[in-house]
Amino acid sequence: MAGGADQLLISKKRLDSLVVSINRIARGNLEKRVIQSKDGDELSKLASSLETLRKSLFKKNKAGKKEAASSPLNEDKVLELEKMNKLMIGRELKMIELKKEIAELKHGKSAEILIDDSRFSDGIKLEESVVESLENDYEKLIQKSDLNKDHKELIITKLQVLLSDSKRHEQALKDLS
Amino acid sequence: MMEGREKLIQSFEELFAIEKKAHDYYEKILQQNISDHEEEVVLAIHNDEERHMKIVKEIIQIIESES
Repeated sequence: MAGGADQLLISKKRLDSLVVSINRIARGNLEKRVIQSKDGDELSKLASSLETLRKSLFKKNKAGKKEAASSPLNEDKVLELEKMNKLMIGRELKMIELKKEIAELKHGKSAEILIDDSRFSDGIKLEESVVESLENDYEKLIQKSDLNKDHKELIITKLQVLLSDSKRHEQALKDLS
Repeated sequence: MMEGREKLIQSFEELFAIEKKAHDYYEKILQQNISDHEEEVVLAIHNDEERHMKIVKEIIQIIESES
């Protein structure tokens, strides 16, 4: 009987220990291992499963912290970006105002039209870059290649059409501005 | 030799992408409130860009025919 009572007491202690472990894991404290026993009974199976769960949560927790730290969109960075964005927009608006003032000083009433015409500036830049790469890169690339002579000449003729058109586009957009 | 051709084709595919970007840019401009004269100029450029895309595709085909 005494042996049975002792066994019950031991089981009670092991159960209490498991309850402590479960509560600890529930609080998010995942550092401490769940105490295991080699009895092979139901309580030891439960302790083993609980330890597996703790390890898994611990790994996920660690990976989550790493990801949050390296994520470009963590809360601090989002706030910082919003702050920068406001600053940049504010600066941009100020620049527009200054440009208007300068244009008004230079051209009087036509200032508004001058600012508005800047909408073609992206197109001018685009055409400029096309002209530059056609002149500096593509023709040379074909000349250096091992394509047959007829093909080289044909391609260069086509490239010259692109080049002359792009130069014309650039000028036409400049005339509009 | 094959590697050289592939690089050449890649370069012209990049040129095609630039022409497409220009084409799309002018398409956007045409949707804006612009004057008749501006529309006439931009539409002509837009049509040219469409033709340029075809020309670059033809160039790629010529290079591929030798590969």
